[in-house]
Amino acid sequence: MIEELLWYYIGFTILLTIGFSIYGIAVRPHLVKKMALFTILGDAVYVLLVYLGYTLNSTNPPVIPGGSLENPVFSSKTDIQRFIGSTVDPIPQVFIVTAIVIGLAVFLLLAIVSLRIAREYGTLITTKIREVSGDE
Amino acid sequence: MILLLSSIAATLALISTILVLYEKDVAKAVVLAGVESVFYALLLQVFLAPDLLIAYVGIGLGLNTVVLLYVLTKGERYEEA
Repeated sequence: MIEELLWYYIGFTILLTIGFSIYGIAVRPHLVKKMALFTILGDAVYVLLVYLGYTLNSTNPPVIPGGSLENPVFSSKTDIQRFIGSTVDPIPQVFIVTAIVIGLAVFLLLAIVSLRIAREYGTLITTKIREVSGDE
Repeated sequence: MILLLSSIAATLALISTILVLYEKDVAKAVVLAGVESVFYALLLQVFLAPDLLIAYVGIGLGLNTVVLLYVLTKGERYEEA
């Protein structure tokens, strides 16, 4: 009972973090703060997906049992049943290893564009950029 | 017990996000984003994903903070709001 309450509380907190970071990307004028909140948004999404793959009675990382030299593959059906019963779902983790690397590439692209903007306009605040460039 | 620890970590990450949102000094905001990354690394360990933890600590805490501070040296440190 209390475990389930804590479980839903963690999910609710992660969703609130996603909401606050989207709000910050929308309203804060500084480009570096926008980028920091963008990384926080990505991290919260990763943790949310790993959270969805977790099961409450799991105790082990998703590592296949029986990987030794004498016994290189699954030995019996009970090994597979124990593996399924005691580990988390490995599929979200496999997705997120890719997502972390792609998030890093997107973040570095944003950093390079921000450096280019700072060199061109002399400022990093978007309202000042609008004043300097003269657009309405 | 481990869920209590992870709920405390999630709460502290939420508080760090709100502090990043309302901080006027952007250098402090970048360091607070690194602190938030530490709490999410703790959550990844609790959710039994140690391979993600290895990649995530190096990228989220090390490289992101360094790149953000380097970009910050080319512009204003304080934001008006």
